[in-house]
Amino acid sequence: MLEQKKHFQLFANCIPVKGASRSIICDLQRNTYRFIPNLLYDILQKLQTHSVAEVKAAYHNEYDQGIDQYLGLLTKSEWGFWTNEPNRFPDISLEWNHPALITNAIIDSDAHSTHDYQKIQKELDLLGCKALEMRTYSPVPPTQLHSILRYFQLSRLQHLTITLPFSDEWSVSEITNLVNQFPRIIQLIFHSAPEDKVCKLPIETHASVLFIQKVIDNKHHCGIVHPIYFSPNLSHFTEAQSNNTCLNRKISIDEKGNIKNCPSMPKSYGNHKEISLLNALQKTSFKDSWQINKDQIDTCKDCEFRYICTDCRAYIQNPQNIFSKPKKCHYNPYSAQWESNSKENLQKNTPPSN
Amino acid sequence: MGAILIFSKMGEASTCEVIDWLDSYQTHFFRINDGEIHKLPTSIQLGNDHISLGLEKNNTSINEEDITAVWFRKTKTQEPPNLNGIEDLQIKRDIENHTLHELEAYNFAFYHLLEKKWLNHPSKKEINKPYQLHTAQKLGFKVPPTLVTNDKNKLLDFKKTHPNLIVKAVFRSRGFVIDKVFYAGFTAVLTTEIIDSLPSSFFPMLVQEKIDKEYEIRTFYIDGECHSMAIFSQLDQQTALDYRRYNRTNPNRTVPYSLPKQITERIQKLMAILELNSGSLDFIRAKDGNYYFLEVNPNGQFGMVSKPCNYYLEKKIAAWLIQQK
Ligand code: SF4
Repeated sequence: MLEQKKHFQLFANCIPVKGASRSIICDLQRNTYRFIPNLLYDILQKLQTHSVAEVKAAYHNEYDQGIDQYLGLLTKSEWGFWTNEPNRFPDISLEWNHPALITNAIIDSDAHSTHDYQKIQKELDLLGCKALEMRTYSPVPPTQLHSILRYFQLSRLQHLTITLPFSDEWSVSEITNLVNQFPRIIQLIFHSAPEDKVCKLPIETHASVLFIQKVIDNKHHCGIVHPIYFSPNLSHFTEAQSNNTCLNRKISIDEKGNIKNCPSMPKSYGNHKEISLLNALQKTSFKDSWQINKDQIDTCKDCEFRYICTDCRAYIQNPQNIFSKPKKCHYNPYSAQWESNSKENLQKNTPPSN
Repeated sequence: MGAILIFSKMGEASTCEVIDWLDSYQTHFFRINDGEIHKLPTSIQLGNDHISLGLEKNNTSINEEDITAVWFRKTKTQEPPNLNGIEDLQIKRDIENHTLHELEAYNFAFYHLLEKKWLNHPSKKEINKPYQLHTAQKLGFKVPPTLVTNDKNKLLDFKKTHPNLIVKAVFRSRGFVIDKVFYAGFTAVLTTEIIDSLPSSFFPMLVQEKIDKEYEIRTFYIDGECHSMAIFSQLDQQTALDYRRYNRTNPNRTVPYSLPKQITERIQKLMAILELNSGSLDFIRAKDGNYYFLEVNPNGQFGMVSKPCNYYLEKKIAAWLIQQK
């Protein structure tokens, strides 16, 4: 039956991305990716406009067997299909857009912070913010966290991620109580915990609660690039086409109240005690980093992961050059190796290449 | 100050997204949830030469003159008032029925007197399925051979010429919650064993010949434009009959689709006859190459087309609502 159809197409949500020495196909529907050789990438490009027979002929029929094998595999695993009507199946638009001025925010705090959470909530709502990450570097007892979160109970926020140090007051029943009270919490990470584990709650919840031993006592723990943080999904992939995947439409308040793109970046646009989030956002240069995409960044521009990887502009290889590669990435796209002291095991985290 | 009136359900996600877009264009809106019309302080006053409609919510009110467009996304079925004091079951049922009709009429008074541009007027929210199929067929659409009946002899006759049958609800497939488990209404195969077990006359059903699919198509139509998605449900046994039986671990491939011009034109004609300016339409692209019309749902979910195809339909709907001035 397959033989009757002349064209092979990848499904529009399976998009190949070419790197310096190998390529991947990003499956933006099933949220995964697979490695392919660059030769297959080129063949798949040609297949967009030519029949399989024509492409085979273009390679003087030298690769017929290999092409058949690969296309068979891609068909079987539902990454592509055969058709005689390629025009009925247009590419997916890679447009990215969002109604809100700010889509995500970070608020850092420690024992000395004096944030006005009510004011923060009102201003984030005005900006349309949907996701908030709160990171505290010193212990927060349950009653205190409850009183902070109460401000956000009627807000437009949809997702709340909280990172805080573990302390004995946080029993499973306290955690359950918190998650129950604030259904917007999607992730709760207790660092400085006695052991690494996923905390199972005795209720049905979409919130994931993690205990990690690592001590996160300052903002410098951010910015790590690793396959477990890759996001092969449509919204990340499209946003990455012309925006920075970390900083775009983000606003942050560091533990001292300084308004920044990200707490780890040096530049402050004023202290929240004196200036509103909206006014900080309107300052020239606040949005400058939003459009730095991976195609402009050294090394990343040759990397096959560039549209699924989350960038970092705070920790970069050369602080004098805002277009230099993230410092905490140990991947070398030219050798296709994760290098130096990085313990990443690619095989474990990613689908095997064929 | 102009504003857009929205009827929806509490927490309905696609409504919230459209509202976010309206907000980004600084457009005012007034949202009414779950048929709250009669729960809010509302009134209609008919004078000799004027009508005034009063709608009020959270201490803000909206004047009829200020409404520029109305979006009827969906609403909840009415609930009867609390009649716990009445012991006689027959009387209770009668009063329940009566109050439900009264509430419906009260709501519809607003719907009818709001002479605005509607994104589907609620009087069009239910369109009889056999009538849809008939209308589509007259416009040149292929439709699967269909029988609507309560008569076993007719069904057996139909089966002789159409051996592979499926059965659907005549009106709409709804689900039921039994012992806290949700049983969704799906399309099912009508086997010989099932037919044999039926009495000579039974509860009405809609029976169709099973069409051999290449893929399914879901089209969201708004004001002349078609936004379509192909659903490769055929790859998967679990969804081969009805893609709503989602396979969550390995979801059906859903990709943007471009309909032939002739089909788009027929859709435009069909929607005009049915007086719908938006809706979701289902088709089968058959192995024989034909496009079979299955049904149109006036208040269909557009999120399930918008998201996988990256169409930003929420933004398009917001823009349409804003344009109606
Ligand atoms: S090289 Fe750049 S794009 Fe590639 S993994 Fe590292 S940071 Fe991500």
